[in-house]
Amino acid sequence: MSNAQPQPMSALRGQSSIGAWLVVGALATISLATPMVENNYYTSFMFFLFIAIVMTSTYDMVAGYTGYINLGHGAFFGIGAYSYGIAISRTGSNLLSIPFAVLVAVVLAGLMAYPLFRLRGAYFSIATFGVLKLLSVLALNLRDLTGGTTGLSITPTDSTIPTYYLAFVACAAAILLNRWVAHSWIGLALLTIREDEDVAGSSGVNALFYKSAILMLSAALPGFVGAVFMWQTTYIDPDSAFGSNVAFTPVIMAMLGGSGTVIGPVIGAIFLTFLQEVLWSHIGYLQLAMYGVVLVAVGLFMPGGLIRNRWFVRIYRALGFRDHYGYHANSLLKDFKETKNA
Amino acid sequence: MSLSLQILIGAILQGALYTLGAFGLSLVFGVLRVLNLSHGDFLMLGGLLGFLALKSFGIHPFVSVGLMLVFGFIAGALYYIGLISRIMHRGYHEMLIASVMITLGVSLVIEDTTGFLWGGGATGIPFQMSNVAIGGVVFPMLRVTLLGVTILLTIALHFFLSRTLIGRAILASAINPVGAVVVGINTEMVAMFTFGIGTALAAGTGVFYASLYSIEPFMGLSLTIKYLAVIVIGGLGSLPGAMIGGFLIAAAEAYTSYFGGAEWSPMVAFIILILALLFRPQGILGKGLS
Amino acid sequence: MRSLLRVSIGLAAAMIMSLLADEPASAQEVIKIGATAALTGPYANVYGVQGKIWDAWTQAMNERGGVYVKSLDKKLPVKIVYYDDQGDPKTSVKFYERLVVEDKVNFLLAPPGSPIAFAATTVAERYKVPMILGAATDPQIYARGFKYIQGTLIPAPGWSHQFMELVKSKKEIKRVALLVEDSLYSRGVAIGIRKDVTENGITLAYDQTIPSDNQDFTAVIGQIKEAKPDLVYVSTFPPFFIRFAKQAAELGLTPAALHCGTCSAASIPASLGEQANGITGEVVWAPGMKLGDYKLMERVLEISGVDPVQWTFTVITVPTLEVLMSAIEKAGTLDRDTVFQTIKSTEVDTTIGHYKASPDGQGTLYPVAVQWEAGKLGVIWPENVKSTDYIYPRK
Repeated sequence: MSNAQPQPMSALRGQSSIGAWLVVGALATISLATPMVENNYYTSFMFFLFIAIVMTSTYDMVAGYTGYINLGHGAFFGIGAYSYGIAISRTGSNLLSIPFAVLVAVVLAGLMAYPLFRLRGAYFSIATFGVLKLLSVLALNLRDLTGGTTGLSITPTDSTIPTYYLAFVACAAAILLNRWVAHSWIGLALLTIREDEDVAGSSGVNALFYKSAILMLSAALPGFVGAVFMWQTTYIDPDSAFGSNVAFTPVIMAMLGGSGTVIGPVIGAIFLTFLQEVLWSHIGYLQLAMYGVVLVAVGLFMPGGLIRNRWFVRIYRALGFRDHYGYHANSLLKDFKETKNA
Repeated sequence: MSLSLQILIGAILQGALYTLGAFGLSLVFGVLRVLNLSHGDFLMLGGLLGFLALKSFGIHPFVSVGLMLVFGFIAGALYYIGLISRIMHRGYHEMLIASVMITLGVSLVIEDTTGFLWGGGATGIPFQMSNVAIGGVVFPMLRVTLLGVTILLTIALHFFLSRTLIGRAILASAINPVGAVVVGINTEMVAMFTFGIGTALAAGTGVFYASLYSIEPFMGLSLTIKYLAVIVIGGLGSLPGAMIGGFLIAAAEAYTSYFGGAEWSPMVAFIILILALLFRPQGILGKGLS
Repeated sequence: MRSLLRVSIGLAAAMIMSLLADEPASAQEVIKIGATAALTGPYANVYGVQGKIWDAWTQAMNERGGVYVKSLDKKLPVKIVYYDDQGDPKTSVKFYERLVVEDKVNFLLAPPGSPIAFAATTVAERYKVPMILGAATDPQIYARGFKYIQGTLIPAPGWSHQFMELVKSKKEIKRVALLVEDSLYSRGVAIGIRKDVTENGITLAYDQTIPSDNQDFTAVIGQIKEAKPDLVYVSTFPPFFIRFAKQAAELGLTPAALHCGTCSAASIPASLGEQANGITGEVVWAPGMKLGDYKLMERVLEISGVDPVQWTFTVITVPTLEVLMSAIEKAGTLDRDTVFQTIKSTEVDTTIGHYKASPDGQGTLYPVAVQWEAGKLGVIWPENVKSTDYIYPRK
C-alpha cells in the first residue's frame, strides 16, 4: 500500500542557507510592496496567486497527510464567497461578514466530515464531488438567497488594498499552518492513518476525530479567502463558486507541486498560475490543449510532483533551500523517537 | 394517467442512454482501477465523426455506430499503450493521482483541439425514426432501438466476460492481478483490450447521443461526471449495476421534474449518489474496492 | 548537469521576464480597444469565433485607413486587443485589468455573454474606462447604476419584441406556451415575452423554467401538449432547443408556431432536418440587409469566413463598434470622457438599425425576426428589411 520512499526527499534535510532566507525575504517584500505602486496589474495577479496558494495548501492539509482526496475542497471557498455576499448585503459590516463566512465554511466541513469519512479512497472523492455539485444546485435554486443563475452582486468599494493584504496574510497563514501540522502530533496521527487506517485505529488513534478535525481546519482559510475574493470582485455565481474548475484546480496544483509536503503545494500553485498567465496572455490558440499536455506530462513523469523530481530538487538546492518542510514517515518518527529519548 | 405512464417510458428509455454511456467507464474502472476522465470526450468524438460521416459520405447512423465502435477501440488501445500503461504498475495512491492528471489532460487536449478545428458550434445528427403510439403512449422508436441495443450489449458483454477466453482473462485480472500473471495471462494485453472496449462503447454511444440530442466540443467533462454518478450508484465494475444505476437516476430525475419542478432534478442524482455511498458504498451490485 | 541547471534557471527567468516586460510607452499611434471573449469553454459554441470577427474588423477598418481623429488631424489605425476568458467571469476580470493597466487600451468592449459581462463591467467602473456593450443585455447589468458602461443592443426582455409585434398581427395565435432555460440570458428574454403576451391579450398557457442540462423532456412535453398552445416559445440556446425539439417531434408535439430566440444557427436545420421547417427565431444581422455601413459588415464576414446566421451573437460587435467609431469621429478626440459623452448623446444609423442611447445606459438596437424554410433562412419582420413572408401555421 505505501509507496517506495523517493530518494531525493532525504537529500533535503538540514537547515536552509542564508541565501534561501534572503530569497524568501525578497519575495515577501515584493509581495508587500506591490500594491503601493499605482494602478498595478501585478496587484491583481498576486491577489489571485495568494488565493491559489491558500486553496492548494489547505487542500493538501487533508490530502497530503491522510491520503483522502477531497474534490469538494473548492466548496469551502464558494460557500465563503456566498456567505460573505449574503451577510454584507444585510449587515454592511465586514467585521461581521468575514467571520461569518469562515464559520459557515467550517460548519460545512463538520457536516461533511462525519458521514463522508466513513468512506474510503475513490468513494470518498466521488462523494465530496457530489457535495460540491449539490451546493451548486442549491445555489442555482435558492434564488431569493443566492440570486440563482444571475449570481450574487454587491456594491463595489475601494477594496483593492485591504483585500490584497488580507489575502497575503491568509497565504502566509496557510503555509505556516501546514508547517505546524507537519511537525506536530496531529500530523503524526494523520500519517499513521494514511499508512494504515485500521492499524492506527487499533493502536488508539481515533481516526474519525483526527480526519474531521483536519478537514474543519482546512476549511477555515478557504472560507476566509472566499469572503475576501467576494469583497474585491463583488460578483459570484454558482459556476464560479462550485464549478468543476474550482474543484480540480487545487488538486492539480497540489499534485503538480508535490502532495504531502509544505512547500510542494505552494510551488505547484505558483507554477500553474504563472503557466496559465503565460499561456493565456501570449498565445492565441490552443492554450487549453497545451495546459492539458502539461498535465499529462506531469502525470506520466512526475507523479510525486515537482518537489520530488530530481531536476527540480537541484534547482531548489542551488537557490539555497534545504528543508522542504515536508513530512516524511521516517523523519517524523525519527523526531518523535529523539524527543522520547531526550 | 397516460402522462404518468409516458414519463415512466421516458425514464426507462433515458436510463438506457445513461447505461450505455456509463458502461465503458464502469468496465475500465472496475478492471483497471483507472478513472477515465476523458470518457465523455470519446463520446463527443463518436458523435462528431458520426455527424461528419453522414454529412460527407452519407453513411447511415446505425452503420456509424459500428464504425465508431471500431474507431473507439483502436483509439482506446493506442491511448492505453501510449499513456495509461506507463502508470499501471504504481501504487494505489500514485496511480489515482497520475490517472486523474493524465485523463484530465487528455480530455482538455481533445476538447480544445476539436473546438479549434471544428469551430465550437453545437450540432446534431438529423436522423429520425417514426414513432409508435400504443394506447395514448408514444414510443419514440429511436430510443426503443437504443434500449434494445443496450440490452443486447449487456447480454453480449456478459457472455463475453464469462464465456470467452479473453473475457475471462479480463475478469481474472480484475479480481487478482498478480494471480493472473502467475497463471500466464498477458495482463498488458488484457488491460489494453479492456480500455479499448471502454472507449469503443463511449464512441458508439456518441452516435446515438448526437442523433437524440446535440454535441459540442466542450461537453465531455460534465457528461463523464454524470456517468460517474451512475456507475457509483450501480456499483463500480458491475455492468448490470450500471444498468440499474442508469435507470434509477433517470427515473428519479423524471419524477422529480414532474412532481417537484424541474430545477430540482439535477440535485436528485447527487443526493442519491451520496445516500448510496453512505448506506451501500459498494453500490447496488458492486463488489467493493480494496 | 550544471549547464542543464543553468539553462533551466535561465528559462524560468525568461518566463518571468516576459511577464514583467513592459511595452515602451509610445505616442498615440493606434486606437486600442480591449476585450475578452469565451473562445474556449462552455460558451464557445455561442461565442467561439468572436476573436476571428475582431481580427477581421481590425483588418477591414485599417483597409479603409482607420478612423479620423480631428484633435490629432490624422487618420489612426485601430486594433482590438483581446484575450480568451474561457467563459469564466473571474478570468475575464483579470484580463480586463490587464488590458487597462498593461496594454493601456483607449476603450473597452464588453465580453459577449451577460454572466461574464456582469463581472467585467466592474473593471470599467473601478478604473473609470468607458466600456461599450454588445451581446450583454441583461437589465441587471445596467441596474447597478454604473457610470462607465453603455449598451447598444436592446436589453434582453426586448429581444423578441419585434417578433411579438408580428404575432399580435396574426389574430389566430391565442395561446402561448413559454419554456425557459434556467440561465441568465434566457430568463431575461422570458421576462419580455411574458409582458408582451399579456399586454396583447394572449393567454400564457404554460410557463416553466428548466435546468440547462436537462435531458429528458417527457414530462415537460406532456404538460405543454395539455396546454394546447398555438405558439411554443422556447427561450434558450441551440443545444437545449435541439434536445427539446427532437423529443417534441418524437412525442407528437407539433405546434402551429415554434420559436426559439437564438434558433438562427445553421445547426438547427443541420440537426433537425425537415422538422426545422417553419421554426422562427431572431438574428442580429442577415445577409441581404442593407442598413448603415453594410459594406463593412460584409467585408468583415468575408475576411473572417464566419457565418453571421450561425454565430449571430458575435456579429453584434460590428454595429457596437460602429457606434464607438462614430462617437470618436464626432467627438474629434480620443479623450475618454468626451467620447463617452458623445456615445450617450449621439444617434447613429448602424447596420442593424437606428441607435440612440437611453439614459439608463441600455441599448436600443433590435434584432430581426427570421424563419427557416427548406434549409434556408428568410427575414420575416420588420417590414423594411424583410425578404419573405411569415408562414403560419408551420407546414
